[in-house]
Amino acid sequence: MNDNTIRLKPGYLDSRCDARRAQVRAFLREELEAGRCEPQCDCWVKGFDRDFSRRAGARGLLGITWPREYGGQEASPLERFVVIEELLAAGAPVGAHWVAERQMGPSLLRFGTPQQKAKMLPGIARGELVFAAGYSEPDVGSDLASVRTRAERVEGGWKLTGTKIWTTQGHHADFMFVLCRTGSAEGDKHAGLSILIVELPAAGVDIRPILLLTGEHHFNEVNFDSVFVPDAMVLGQAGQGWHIISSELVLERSGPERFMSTFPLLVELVRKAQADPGNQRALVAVGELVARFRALRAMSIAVGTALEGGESPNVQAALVKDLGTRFESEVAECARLLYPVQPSLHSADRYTNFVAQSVMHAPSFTLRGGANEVLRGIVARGLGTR
Amino acid sequence: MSHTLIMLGDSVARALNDTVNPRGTIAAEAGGLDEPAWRQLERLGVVGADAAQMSMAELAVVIDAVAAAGALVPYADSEALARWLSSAADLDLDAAMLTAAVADNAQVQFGPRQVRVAADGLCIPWGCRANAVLFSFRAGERCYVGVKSAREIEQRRTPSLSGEPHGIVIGAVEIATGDVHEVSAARGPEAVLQRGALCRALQMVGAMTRVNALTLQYARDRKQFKRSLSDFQVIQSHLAAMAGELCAAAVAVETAVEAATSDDAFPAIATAKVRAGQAARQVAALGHQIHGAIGFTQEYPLNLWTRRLWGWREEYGNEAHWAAALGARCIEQGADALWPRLTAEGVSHYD
Repeated sequence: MNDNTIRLKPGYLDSRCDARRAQVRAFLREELEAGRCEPQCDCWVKGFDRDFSRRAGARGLLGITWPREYGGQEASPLERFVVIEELLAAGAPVGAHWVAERQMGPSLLRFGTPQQKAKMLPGIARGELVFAAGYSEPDVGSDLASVRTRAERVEGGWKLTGTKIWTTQGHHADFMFVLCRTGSAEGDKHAGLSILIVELPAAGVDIRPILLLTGEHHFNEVNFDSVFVPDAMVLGQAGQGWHIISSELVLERSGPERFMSTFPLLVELVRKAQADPGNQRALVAVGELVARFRALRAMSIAVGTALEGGESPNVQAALVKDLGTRFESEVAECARLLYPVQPSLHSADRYTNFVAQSVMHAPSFTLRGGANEVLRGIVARGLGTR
Repeated sequence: MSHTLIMLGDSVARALNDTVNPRGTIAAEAGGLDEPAWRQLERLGVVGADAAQMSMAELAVVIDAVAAAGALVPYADSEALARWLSSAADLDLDAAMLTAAVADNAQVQFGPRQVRVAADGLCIPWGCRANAVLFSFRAGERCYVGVKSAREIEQRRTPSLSGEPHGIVIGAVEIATGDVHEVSAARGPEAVLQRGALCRALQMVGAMTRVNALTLQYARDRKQFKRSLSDFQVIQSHLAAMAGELCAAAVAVETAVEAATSDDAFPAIATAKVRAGQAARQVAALGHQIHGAIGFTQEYPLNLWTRRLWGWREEYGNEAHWAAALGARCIEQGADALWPRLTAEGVSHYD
């Protein structure tokens, strides 16, 4: 009734998705039974295990939507949705392949040269290659188009200089996508940006850890001092960087990792309630969380269906992330008030441990992939107010 | 949503747009019914025998349009709920404006001429304006529908926050034995409660759509500090939050409409009523906050939809009711069944 109402048509999972689900569950069952996979919250950041990623790749769970010539299976995006929601529900250690499989692979597929695709895509699909995103900088967080890392034209390529920060898994990375300025910043600041792919290790690249408040090492500061990047490693055209990044972010925002980071805690909360029959507060709390979860999952499937249909629902994707990431924190708050514990990352008790993981990681939920305030700006623009 | 459904919704919206206006709706509250709006719906062929032939998906688009128009008519109660019950009980009530009431926990006594339903204190939505009330109740394992003329039921007139002419039953309701019909569990009290919850969730989405539209327009038009309200980031953030709540509720409700005919509609419907209720709270609050004092007046129309949200979220089980039911089912199935159940239910699943 109003052009500015933001709606989503419910999406559907088909029988191919059922087959995928069975395939992932069989894999996860084996992993669990062999003791190779310990569930955890925020597993797509916390759980870094190259061997797990290789096994997932060997079982055909990665890059499944890609063409066969690059290691894919030409599966539908919703089949991939099922694969990743299953891995997240299990709290599996998917961090080693996550970023590469989610965003770098699709960007390579869309913008890369045949040589770049052949060089990197099969390795991602095998779960062997770790990628990092060198986008943020010390003075540039939400306002990415203001990056100051520069690449100067030299014979046969570019000379890259600058500093990137919050580079997750940079210390493990085999390749890094680096957003940098290759053209003038005068006029339209979105023009003149490029993505250079740096193969690591490389001369002139210095990677230093930035520990999280938990003491974990995921973040890094990465310094580039006149690093040579050959022309063959420019993604797409020089000057196309902003366009590439914007298309990546839509994929990054609406997936199940935006509302499932604390799902393993929700499962343990239900287990607590199972042992506490007749607790009316627990019934209501679990029901409220499950209702929110079900609505978010329906929204995420709807966005996935729209993407599959060739639409670009970036406003809806921003909504899913805003609602979903706040839900992730809500699970933690709800659990700790309903079944209080002394949270500890070192507890042997799974519930206690999950509460600690969820509380300590919660600040990042509403920041990574675009701060929620920035996302609300995107929604406001979609409403026609900016 | 199919093209035919969209056309149906548009035609109802257009017809009501010609008939319904805020001043008229407020004036109609004294009598409890916007009669011209009801006649308009009759003319459109979405009432009575016609409604009995409509699918839930068709009823849903009409319910949405009626709610968005803010029309003071019992469309959902009469046509999507009571009409559906009357067709199951094979009652010939085509000409009547109906309503339903669920007396799930009432004691029931079968006498030779009368069935006595101990429904003292039961709220009958639209009980003071409908021609006939269809009571849904059970005795042991058996489910029944009993029909009684609203005029013959002793009720205390208790208008809801929406201004709808609800009544509270005084004493027991006695229904002539010939007007009581056994129905299958699929039309029993639990099923009526679910369908009622789905209707209210649909109505809430319709009303929230209108609150969202009014608020967006107001934020653009209203100037403070020489700028439109919508130029302020904090207001943009409120507007985005409102849009998100509405979108989430709409997806949950549309999913539930599709699940309504499946074997186990309960989780989808519980989700829809909880999520719509959660959203209603936020959307009404943000709508009022952005409107400022004018929104708090009777003269400005915002209240037509926010009052409906506050009324409807309580009816056919509020968020706590359905959350407890959904939570109880999840807990009973157990932690290890949570994920398999969430992914197995027919809700967003289709071939």
